[in-house]
Amino acid sequence: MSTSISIGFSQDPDPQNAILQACVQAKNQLHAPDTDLIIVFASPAYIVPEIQTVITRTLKPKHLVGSSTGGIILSNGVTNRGIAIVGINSDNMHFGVSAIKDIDTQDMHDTGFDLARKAAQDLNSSHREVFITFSEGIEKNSSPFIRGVREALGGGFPVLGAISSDDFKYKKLSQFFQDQILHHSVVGLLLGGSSHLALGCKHSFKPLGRPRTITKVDGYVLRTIDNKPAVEIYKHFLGTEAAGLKNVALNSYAAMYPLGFYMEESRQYLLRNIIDILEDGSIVCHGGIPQGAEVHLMISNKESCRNSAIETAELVKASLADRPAKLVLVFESLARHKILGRGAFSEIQAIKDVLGKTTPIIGMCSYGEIGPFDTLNNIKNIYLHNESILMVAIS
Amino acid sequence: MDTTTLETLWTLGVVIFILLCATTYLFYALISKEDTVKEMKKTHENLMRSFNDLDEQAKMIVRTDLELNKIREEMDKRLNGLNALQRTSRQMSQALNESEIFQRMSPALFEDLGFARVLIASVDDSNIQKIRLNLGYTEPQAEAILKEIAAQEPLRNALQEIHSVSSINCSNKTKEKIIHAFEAEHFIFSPILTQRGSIGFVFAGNRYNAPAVTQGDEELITILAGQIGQSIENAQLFEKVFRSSQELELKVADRTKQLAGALQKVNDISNKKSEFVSAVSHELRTPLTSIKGYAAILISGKIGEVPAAVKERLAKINSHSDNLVALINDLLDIARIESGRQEMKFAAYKIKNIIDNVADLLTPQITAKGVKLHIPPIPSDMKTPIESVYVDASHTERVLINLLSNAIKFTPQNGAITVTVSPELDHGYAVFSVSDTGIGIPASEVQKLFNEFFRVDNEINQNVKGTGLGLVLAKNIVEAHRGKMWVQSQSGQGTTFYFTLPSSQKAYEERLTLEGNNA
Repeated sequence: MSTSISIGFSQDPDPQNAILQACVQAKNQLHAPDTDLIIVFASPAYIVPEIQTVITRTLKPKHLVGSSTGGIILSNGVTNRGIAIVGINSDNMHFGVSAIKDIDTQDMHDTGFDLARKAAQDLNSSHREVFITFSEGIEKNSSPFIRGVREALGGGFPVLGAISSDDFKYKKLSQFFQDQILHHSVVGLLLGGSSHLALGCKHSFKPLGRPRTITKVDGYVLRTIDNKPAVEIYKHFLGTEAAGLKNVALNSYAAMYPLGFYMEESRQYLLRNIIDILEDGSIVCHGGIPQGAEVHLMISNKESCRNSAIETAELVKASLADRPAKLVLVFESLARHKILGRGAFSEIQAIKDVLGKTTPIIGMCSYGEIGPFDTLNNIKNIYLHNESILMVAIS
Repeated sequence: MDTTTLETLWTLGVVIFILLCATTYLFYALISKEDTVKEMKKTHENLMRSFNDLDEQAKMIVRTDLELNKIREEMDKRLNGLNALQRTSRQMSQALNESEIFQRMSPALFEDLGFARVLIASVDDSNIQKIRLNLGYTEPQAEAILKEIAAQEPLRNALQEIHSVSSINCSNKTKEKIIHAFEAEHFIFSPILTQRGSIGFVFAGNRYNAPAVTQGDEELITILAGQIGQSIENAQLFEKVFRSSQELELKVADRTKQLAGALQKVNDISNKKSEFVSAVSHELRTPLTSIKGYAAILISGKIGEVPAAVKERLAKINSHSDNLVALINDLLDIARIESGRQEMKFAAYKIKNIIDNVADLLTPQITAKGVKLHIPPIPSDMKTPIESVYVDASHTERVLINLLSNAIKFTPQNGAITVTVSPELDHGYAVFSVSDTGIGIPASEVQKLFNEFFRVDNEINQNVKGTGLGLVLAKNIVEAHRGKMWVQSQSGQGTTFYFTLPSSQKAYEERLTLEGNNA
């Protein structure tokens, strides 16, 4: 055995049955008494207290991480209901996992540093490949978090991740760590060993209208653009419909028209979804905002989304250089999934057309994706993206 | 003017000239700069106008995109809804009882349709509204809603309506009551209708911060409520049919039991009859043998000459005794075969040999009667050639002797008798036939032919003695081979007897197994 990867999935209406069915499917493919690593993606209705007990009893995982999600990405499409369990047993891959709980009141730099250090301690290998996080709360201040992780693991170390999601209700996001279901926490998975990783990360949005300048920012709250309340940009373009932006669960405009900040160092637009409008017209974004950057309203469509998924898959394929991918992990923005609507299925098919029809694909729809622009060549600058698709292939 | 003054004046002149040139240059330079600034201002204005145009174009793009997206979202929602509805309808239509209909409805259906609060209720057997599906309410909340519906007239009226009401189409009064009762600002309330009228409702809604319901949502929930009503009616109908069918099955089972009992009684009686016949026959045969023996001794004159008249009477006693012995032997055979006590010695025998043996045996009678016997060869071109049968040869010969004897008896002089073996097999059984050109049998008598002691009432039978057991015995022998015997005849048209016998051991055993299974 070198590396065995199995995927179990169920949509049984009874969550306990579904968990058991997914576990059994995963176990049947692994043919092993225990499992080196389990990654769990579950929609909110399937997150019941028994989830870890059933997984532990059935698959006996040495390491377990995962996240709640509003959409589970599978080889045959995307579904907003169910539970997916990925099992990995490997001789040449090593895993270290860690978690920091209740991060809302903690320093993000320290959180990142501690998380990475704990995972490194848990990893039984000196060779580290990539650090993957599932979190809720770091999006407010992601830069120091990423800096903290890199301080612990190395300056140019690849840090990837997904922000936990639900069905746009923002009610109760969950992170899975070993035998615990956490909230407002961050879990980390450090991959080590001798596997090869290929990465692609893209969005499909284009800037609209004239460039505007950010004149005042407080972390993830955009106060003014061109010295006017930030919301004016939406009022200008959306007219009366901008009123709907107040309630994020209600509006799809936030997903359809994010803000794009031009990042000089990467020469790309970093996207931000808006999650609220404050009384003074400030915009609350789903992630930090670069002070003084040029800002645009951004637009995309289904075709553009699909094309960006194909381009991302092509980047991954090029990076794989003819090595077959054993598993492709996909973190895709839930907002982007909303734009795709019923076309989400064809996006996955398009990815498979590039990476191979039999390539196992698993992933989650997230509220934010952590990674560089495009490929690992741009690993120097890692961002929290919105509305993007991130693919990691393990070969 | 001295030289110094001249030099000073010269220098001053040069300076003035240079200053003049510089001033002129600066003057021209300033004029040129102003043009550039003007040009730049113009470019800036153009650029700003382009940017503003770009913004306006972008505004138009966004608003068109918004419209398109709204339509797309609505279409996606409708398609998802229809898809979910179709799935649910299929599930519901498979339900066989009322409670199963609701069990098969998943709350996920309503989540797919975008509703967070759902309540479905319908009346039970006692005509009391019961909650069948609940999403987003606690049990006490749901019960309180049912009570409020019962208490509030506008809600009761909405329940009795034949069409749905929703937050986009109902009166303010009803809307207010529904919002208050269900704590949902956006809603659709659709009665569940059957032929009996409204029997419940489907409520689907969302709280205050959710998107408003659309006409499409209302149509979907109305279709769903209609589907539930239809499924309930179907389930009730099924239940009715199922109950009738169960009652019928019970009746059939009861009747079958009665018939089985009656059949058992008949079989018991038949067995007793066979035993009785067997016992009586045995008891009769011994004295008859003695009578026959004594009559023979008297006729032989060993104990003294008897007068001719006595001899004649003794001969009659002897002859009648023979008839009686034959009758008793037939009865005994029938009883043995019926009770299964008759041992059958099965083996494969050539058909030709069996028929030839019987023909040889009966040749004197055939010749004496002046009839012709045809035994055509068994056709060789048939698909499944049959040359032999798996039978008890001696009993089979008895069947043929019986049928041929009858044929000889009832066929007039110059008539013909034909014995055939059919090339077509009846599931591995060969079909034999014995036909004659005799007087035939009236249709009313044909059915009675195989009854014990039955003899057709005709002139020949009145003159020729018979027991009325020959055909019964023949039929019993055939049936002991798991074959069948039947007859075709018409008055004056001759008679044909058919019977089937197994062509192989396999065919016989298969028939035995089949009969065992059917039993």
